[in-house]
Amino acid sequence: MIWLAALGLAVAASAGLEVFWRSRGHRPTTNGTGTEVEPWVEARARATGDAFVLVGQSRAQAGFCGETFRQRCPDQEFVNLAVSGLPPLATLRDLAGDDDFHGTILCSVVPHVFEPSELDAQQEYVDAYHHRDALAGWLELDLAPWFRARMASLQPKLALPRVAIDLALRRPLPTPDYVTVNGDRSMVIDFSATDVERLRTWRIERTRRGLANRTIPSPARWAEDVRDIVPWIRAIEARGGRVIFVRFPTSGEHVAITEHYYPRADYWDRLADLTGVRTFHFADDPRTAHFVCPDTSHLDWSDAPRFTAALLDVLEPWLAGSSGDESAAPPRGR
Amino acid sequence: MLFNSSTFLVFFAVVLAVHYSPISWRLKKHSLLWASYLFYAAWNPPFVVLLWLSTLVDWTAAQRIAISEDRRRKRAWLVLSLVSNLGLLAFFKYGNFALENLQALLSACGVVYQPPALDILLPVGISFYTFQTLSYTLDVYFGRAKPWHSFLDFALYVTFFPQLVAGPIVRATCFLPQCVEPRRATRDQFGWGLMLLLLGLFQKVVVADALLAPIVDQVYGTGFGPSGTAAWQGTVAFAGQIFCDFAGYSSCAIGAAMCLGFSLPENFRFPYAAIGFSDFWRRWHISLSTWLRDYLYVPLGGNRRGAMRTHGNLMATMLIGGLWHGASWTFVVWGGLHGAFLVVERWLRRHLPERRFWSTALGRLALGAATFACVCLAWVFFRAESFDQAWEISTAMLGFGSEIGAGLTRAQAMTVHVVMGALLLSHAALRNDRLELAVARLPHWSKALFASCLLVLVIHSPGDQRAFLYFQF
Repeated sequence: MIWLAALGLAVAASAGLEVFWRSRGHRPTTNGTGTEVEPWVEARARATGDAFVLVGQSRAQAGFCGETFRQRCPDQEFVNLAVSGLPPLATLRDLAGDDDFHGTILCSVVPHVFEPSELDAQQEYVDAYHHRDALAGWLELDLAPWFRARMASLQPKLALPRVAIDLALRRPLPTPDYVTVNGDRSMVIDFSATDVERLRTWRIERTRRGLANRTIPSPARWAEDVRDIVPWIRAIEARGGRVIFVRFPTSGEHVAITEHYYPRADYWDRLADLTGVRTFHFADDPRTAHFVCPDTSHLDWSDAPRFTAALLDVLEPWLAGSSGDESAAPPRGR
Repeated sequence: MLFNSSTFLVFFAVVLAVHYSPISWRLKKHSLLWASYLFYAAWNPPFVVLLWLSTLVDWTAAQRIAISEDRRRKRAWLVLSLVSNLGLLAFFKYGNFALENLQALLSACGVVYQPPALDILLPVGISFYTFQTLSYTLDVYFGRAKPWHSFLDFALYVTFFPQLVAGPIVRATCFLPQCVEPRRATRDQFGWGLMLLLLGLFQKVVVADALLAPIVDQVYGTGFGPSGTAAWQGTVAFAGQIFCDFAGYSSCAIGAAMCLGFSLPENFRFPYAAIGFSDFWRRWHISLSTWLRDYLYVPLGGNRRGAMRTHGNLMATMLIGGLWHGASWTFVVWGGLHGAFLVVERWLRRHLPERRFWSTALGRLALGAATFACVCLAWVFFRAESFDQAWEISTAMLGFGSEIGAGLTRAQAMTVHVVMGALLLSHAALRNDRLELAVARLPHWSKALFASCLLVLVIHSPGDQRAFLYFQF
């Protein structure tokens, strides 16, 4: 009886907390839990066969809507392996070396990710996947991410000890994050929940400073770097898979700054010829060119489904053909 | 597999279902044994072989010791057990440490030696199960126990999952007799077992991990350079963290075992209310301190061979106890400090005249506070990453540092004061009591409320899932 009463009270209290935090605008998220690697490892394990795999950084994680893809292609396994803040080529290399994978990789890139210093950025995630033990992996059926993806009150920032300290110090209760990550690892950015002007200024300054501090490789040097990854692409294609490089939307000053350091004609436009695969730049098609990133770098959650649908419309002829089918429109490299 | 993971929840539910199903006791023991191997394999499957090796060696050695008439043969079997168990421990735990020290020693002598990079992975819990199996062979050798008749029971004793990776270190004489008759928890025992599990999770997840660990990590992080106040706050927080982490594990272990109908020995008894260091070691990690007493201190001569020899034995025991915790000289210094505290306490007890003041509440409070302060000073060496850091923090604590060093935020300072204040008060209040009895005195409604509060706090304290600190030992 004591335990039944305790369980009942605990369930009631948890439900009350959930209702309370949701009423204050909080949504479930797996972000900021310090355990971002585990869901990635779990997702990576599903990237086999002819799966459709999204590889990239936060721009892809926020801009590509998994739900929209699943509605369009209900029979196709969709795997989101994008990692916020980390250039993606280590994951591409890993998939290239995986004989069980012969699917499609939608790889979100910008020119600097091909530089040698960026190649291992996601290697920590890849290593975690390969170092997981088969038996241990099978046993570690961690239910926590499943609950975190469904309960707003399980965010670390809403941890009761932390909230209690805040209350004791008469601090305001935590406000909702404008960025949340769903259970399928897709990112939801709600710019209406933050000060967009401030964020835009910070983002532009960060981009400007980041590029100013880089040693920009000459186009020739960069081309050499790109050629280094071509064997990975060929390996995937040899198994019947394919790679598509996509430039996800950016806006305003962000476009101007990146164009200044990495002129499109010298870098992006050469990518298709250098790699021999399809590339798509969001600005090249009216269906995707009109989207605006409020912070200049990421799409708002409300635009992500429409952008994804538009992108899939553009890619559909390519996706319908086999990897070696050159007849499908639109033309390569545009 | 961690007690604070949802995997364990599922695993334990399945184990309980099988244990309380209508199958034979022998089958139940088999299921517990294989569940224990699975529990261990969840961390690193190949190291299960070490468990098998340890089980086989000590089982065989004890049987041979018992049937041998010749004293030299008995001793040979004991040596085999000691060499194989301590050899494995030495290789896996101290291999790199020994090579590094050999390199430093040769370098001091002008010899350049580059040891091979061994890259040895420490099998979790090896220090615990090594001591546990050794105690069985030693007990049989010294005639304190007879060799057990059932290999299945013995294998379960070595492997029993609740205490396998971080204790308590259970004696064969305590566990094996429990394997004879079918074990089934009464309703009260089952309820108390669940309460201990929940209490252990609360200590680990809420107090150690969510509240104290971030503060300790900051003070003991590289380049923090704490002020004297922050050094004390960080170290006192560590005292709370390591207690709640380790006692939390022990509570979970004892609780899980109790739900299955097994009784494991108490491992902590409100240690921060200790008055003096001998009292502290009767309350802290009791299963280790009694192991060291029975199998090291007493065989060395204990206190039977004069004051000097007693002091030497105390120091040797504590130094080895320090080294048992980890392959680093900082752990040896931690053990040495506790050895020194015990020697000084013993000397003071013999040489200082008795005064009534020390028996009064104020006197006992002063002695308890002094004990806690010294224990905290020793914890610095236990937690510090290096001697440089230990020196920096301990000098800051002793007032030789700089008060312009880094401090904690108001929230962090308040957390340390509130949490540690509550912890110390609870230890003082329950010093001469037993937790089980204290909880039993509560009315039913408050027990339900208490359990639900613990449950809600455990569920709603998400964050980094940290392994138990004692796993590394």
